[in-house]
Amino acid sequence: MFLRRIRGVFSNDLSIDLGTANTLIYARDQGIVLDEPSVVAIRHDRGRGGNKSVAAVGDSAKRMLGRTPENITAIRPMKEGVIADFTVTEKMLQYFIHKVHESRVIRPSPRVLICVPCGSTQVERRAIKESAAGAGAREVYLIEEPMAAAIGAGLPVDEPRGSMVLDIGGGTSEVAIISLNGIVYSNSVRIGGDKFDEAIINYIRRNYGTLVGEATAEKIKKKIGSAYPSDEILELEVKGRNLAEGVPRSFTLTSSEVLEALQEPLSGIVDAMKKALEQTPPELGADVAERGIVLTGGGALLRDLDRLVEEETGLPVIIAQDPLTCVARGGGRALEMMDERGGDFSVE
Amino acid sequence: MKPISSEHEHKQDIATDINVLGPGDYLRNARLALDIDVSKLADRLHLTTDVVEALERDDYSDLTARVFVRGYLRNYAREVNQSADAVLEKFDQVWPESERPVKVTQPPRLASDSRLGSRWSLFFTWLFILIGVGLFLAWWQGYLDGFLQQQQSETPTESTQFDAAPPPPENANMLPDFIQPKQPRLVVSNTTNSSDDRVNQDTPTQPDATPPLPESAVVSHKPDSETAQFSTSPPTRAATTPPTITEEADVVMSLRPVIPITERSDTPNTTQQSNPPMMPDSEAITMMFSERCWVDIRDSSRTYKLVGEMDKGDRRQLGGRPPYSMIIGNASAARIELGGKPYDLTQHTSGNVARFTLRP
Repeated sequence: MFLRRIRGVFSNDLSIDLGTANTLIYARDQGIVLDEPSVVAIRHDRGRGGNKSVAAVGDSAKRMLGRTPENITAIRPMKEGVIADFTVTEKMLQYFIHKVHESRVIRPSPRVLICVPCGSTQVERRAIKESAAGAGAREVYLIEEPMAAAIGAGLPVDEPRGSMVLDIGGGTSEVAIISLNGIVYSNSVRIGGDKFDEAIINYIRRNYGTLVGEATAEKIKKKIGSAYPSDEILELEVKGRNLAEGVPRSFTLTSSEVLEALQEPLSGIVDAMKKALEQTPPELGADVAERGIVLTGGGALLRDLDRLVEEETGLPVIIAQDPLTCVARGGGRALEMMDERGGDFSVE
Repeated sequence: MKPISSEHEHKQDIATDINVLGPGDYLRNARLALDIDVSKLADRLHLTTDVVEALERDDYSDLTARVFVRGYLRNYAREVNQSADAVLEKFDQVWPESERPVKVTQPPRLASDSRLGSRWSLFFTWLFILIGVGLFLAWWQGYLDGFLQQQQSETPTESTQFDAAPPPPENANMLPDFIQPKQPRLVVSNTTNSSDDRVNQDTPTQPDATPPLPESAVVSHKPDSETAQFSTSPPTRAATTPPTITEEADVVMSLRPVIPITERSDTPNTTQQSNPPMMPDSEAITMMFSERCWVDIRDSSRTYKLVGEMDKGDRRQLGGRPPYSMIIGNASAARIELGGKPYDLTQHTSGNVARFTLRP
């Protein structure tokens, strides 16, 4: 413990957005220092009882997804915002923490603040905490993602007025009403970017009889994905394996088709928002109606998602500046404020 | 519908305006160009008319947070078919991001909160680091001292034991014949008070077991009383005999204890000036060792020191300036004679180690 403190003197405080799709790290006084996919490639040594070792982490591991030989498995240790594989998550965190301290001679032991879904259970939170401690963190704090997202987006969380934030991540979507530095209401649904990809894969298989991978589905979502009907129709040529013929085939997919594919997960998010608005106390609801809803997270980059929410709720909807990094930045800001002014946002 | 070219020119005009006008004026111009009423636009944006008009006036005083204003402007630009990026870029100039930081009020703290404790722990961490560094430096200093002492002890014994002594011969075979063991020895003594006075110091000490050296075996010239103090032979034997050549057989001599302390001077006066005042012969301090002992003896001026192991039968006469700081290991085997009189070591001995200051 004492050695960790000494090592901590030579480490930066970190805010980690341990997301299902991407992990972002915000270092104090430095900003976002790491943005890599939450993917780890594991190598299995040949022979019975062969050892497992980490072959790659982050970008290099993501490039291996779906393209690995028999002895390598590329996995995503986070599922739906929580840890699916404890050991691999610990290794991944260890790698990322070392990467942001790579110029240091002394092994880092930073204070770490990790953002967790507000719907995560105590067991899941404890797993994240222990995983970070195992990765070398000196102290581990947890903060709920919507609060971090609100701070990162620049919402006036300290005011006695309601602010509503919708954070659409890779595994979960979090909606929360915040006032006076606290969450008045929050809801988390296990729908996010991964569900969008899954919906696209299912749509193509059902309508085109073709199987595409996760990487292709993600590419379709980013290029022509849309959440609201538009006059402008975008097209993309997609290649996949035809299930009937068993050979690769290509076809053209339009943005309206993707919109149709995304209807199910999008309606799940909209329902969660409507439920949150229903549960909001009237005074805070009036504040939200006057000022609007702020969208953060990678899902906010889906084309015309703000229009969809706007139409469905009848409220002004605002996409935060740089929505992908809002949670990590907000966590970092919360960490700074905890030191500067004693504001405490951490949860157990 | 306007022709494409005229629409393009219109957009160009507005785009030029954004460099001159604020974002509100720019958007209002775009709205007027599309002939959209303020209330109609406010409905589309789900905002009140007041908010839209405030945006067009660039008056953000009633709009609480920057993130909301930015979002409204973005949506406004999209509704009037303008580039949101240009508007937001202009807005960022009008209201930079860092101007209104997020404020967080300090929540009430409980007594059990450990914020103060964490500061103390940081303080103690630094304290421990500094103490650790200090201890390391102290250890390093001690290590260096020990290392240097060890280096010195590895050099020939004579040179380390007597700083003032000239370096002894490295090879016994190269020694003059008169100090070779079991060799007849010829010592030339000179009683004249010539300026080229030389004090012969080569009389060896003898083990206790050996019979005392006959007086005739050592013939040293004693030009004056001052040179007597350099003699390592029994100090009381200041010879006054005329120069003779004495042959002595069967004198057993040990090579190790031979510590020739030879002072050469051109004149007696020069000797007096260059050397520290030595003790008179009557106060000469002689140490004898009947077994192996370890000694650390330093005089008051610190220019003289006798440090190291003494073998059985060794005999030393101390030089330097009294008083002497003495540490003698295996003190029961050491004997000190002060002007020929034995000095009681037992009063200073503790655990067979004597530590004391000798003031003759």
